[in-house]
Amino acid sequence: MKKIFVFLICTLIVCASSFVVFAAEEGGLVWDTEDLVSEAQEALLSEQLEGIKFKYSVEAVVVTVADIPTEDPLDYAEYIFFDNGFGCGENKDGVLLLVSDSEGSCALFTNGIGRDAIDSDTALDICNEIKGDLSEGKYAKAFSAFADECDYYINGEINGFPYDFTVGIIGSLVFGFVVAFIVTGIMKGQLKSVRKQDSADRYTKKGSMDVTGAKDLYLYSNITRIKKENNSSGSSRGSSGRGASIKF
Amino acid sequence: MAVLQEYKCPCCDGAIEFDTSAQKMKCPYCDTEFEMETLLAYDEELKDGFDDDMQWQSAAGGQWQEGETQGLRIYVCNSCGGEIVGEETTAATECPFCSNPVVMMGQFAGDLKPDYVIPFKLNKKAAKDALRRHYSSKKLLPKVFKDENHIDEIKGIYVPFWLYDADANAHIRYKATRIRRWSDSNYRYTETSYYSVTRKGRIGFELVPVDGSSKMDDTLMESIEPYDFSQAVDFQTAYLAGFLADKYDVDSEQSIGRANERIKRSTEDAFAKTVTGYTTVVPVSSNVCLENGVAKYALYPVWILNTTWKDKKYTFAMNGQTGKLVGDLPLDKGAYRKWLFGIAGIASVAAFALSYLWWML
Repeated sequence: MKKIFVFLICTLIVCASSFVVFAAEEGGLVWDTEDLVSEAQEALLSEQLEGIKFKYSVEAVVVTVADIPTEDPLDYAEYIFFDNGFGCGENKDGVLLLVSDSEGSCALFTNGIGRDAIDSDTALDICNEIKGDLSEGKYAKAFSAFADECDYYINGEINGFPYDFTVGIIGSLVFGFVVAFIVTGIMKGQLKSVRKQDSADRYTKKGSMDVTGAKDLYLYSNITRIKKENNSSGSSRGSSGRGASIKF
Repeated sequence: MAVLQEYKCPCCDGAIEFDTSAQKMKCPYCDTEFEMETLLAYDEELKDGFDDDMQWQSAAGGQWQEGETQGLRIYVCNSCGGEIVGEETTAATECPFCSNPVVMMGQFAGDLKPDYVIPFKLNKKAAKDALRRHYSSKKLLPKVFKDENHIDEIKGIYVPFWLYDADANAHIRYKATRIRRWSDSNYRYTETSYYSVTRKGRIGFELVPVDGSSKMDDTLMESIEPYDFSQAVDFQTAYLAGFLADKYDVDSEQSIGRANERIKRSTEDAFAKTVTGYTTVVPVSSNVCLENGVAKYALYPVWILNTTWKDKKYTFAMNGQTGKLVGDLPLDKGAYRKWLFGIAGIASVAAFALSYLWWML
């Protein structure tokens, strides 16, 4: 009887463990189908993303895939986001980072508050920030940086950005010295009053100017053209402000 | 010995001088005032009857050595007989012994006679007041310099000026560009059109002043412009009584270069204003020919104030007609640093506080 009880307990523990693993892989916020990070790293990342969800009710998700079937990785990221029911609340507030190691592509899709917090330019900045780590295979570091950025911007959107004292102090000092140099420059200028008069304008006879000949002769024209800047590095902003994607 | 002119009061025989407030000749001893016209007639009368031959012989003292008197002239005061040693260009001064104002008549004889004079409108007190105002509200002026306010010398001088009238005929060519920009979906285009622009015409100038005294700093004299020439009168030596005066030692031919520079610059500027509608306009060639050029000789009133600070001489000049005073002042480096860092500190704190408040809102 005692052996049967031990067997049932063991079976229950194994089943519970399997459920947790399944939930992490299929129902959590990290879908690492390509196994780019270790289980320990995945657990840490999940904890980080769950923290964001708990604090702001916004889901930040990391998904790794082998192939991206759409031309624009952002379209596939959007498909995954909605097809799997990511996002919190009616507005489906969330951010999804899609990474394909084999294609060297990365897309960051945003929705709801996630989109308010992270516009296309910011999404592109985040992608570029983690690009180096992704290309070097430091996926855990890249995903952690993504989570940090999501935390910072979503917090900023909901609670307001924290005051940056370093920027504030340096900017104020620069402003202060610019003002001081202008004011003391004017004060120094008041000490100088002896100036050469280069013109005789005040000695012009009133009404004496008479333009007897005026000729404006067209000579030639030059046309130069400059190609408008495009994203030659493979990065692009989402057309509707839904995120950004890059190659790494 | 050259001839001196003193103006004696017909009432008390005291030396009379020009009074800037009354714009008349006034005896400082009995306060009798005389109209300038009266003095003009008096002046003429003096010229007719003045034929003294004042030979003074003195065994005392040594003889001027050869070349020692070069650039100097020696006069004898009509009042006290004192010997007045003046520079070659001195035209009016005061006797160092009896302080009587004297005018060296020979300095204005023949072609040397000025055509016009603008009489002093402001006196020595006004010059001192103007200097005090010049010092005030200058935060970076050394406090010691301001407080001590010692003036080594104040001189009312009639400075010789050449006044040039001319019509300038200009033929100026400019290189001008017009720039048009547009873009399509792929490119940004810039079209630069080049033009050769020519302007011809004439413009007149009158009474362009250039000082005719080598002792006066040209920049200082230009800084106290302008003078109101409508208040100029025909020259009379009587106006010089009580002031210093120099005759010119830079003639009109030598001075004309400076007038030409100013006239050319103003001509180019005036015609450049007629070239409109272009993005850039650069003068390529400029030919300015002068016609009907005439030079007049006039004496303009200037108060010169000198002071010395830390072994450096500071000279101020005041327009004796308008009261405009100029003169560079020393910089208090310590005060400059205090103001620089003080303002920087206050502005930085204010900027930081505002940025923080703005962020809080």
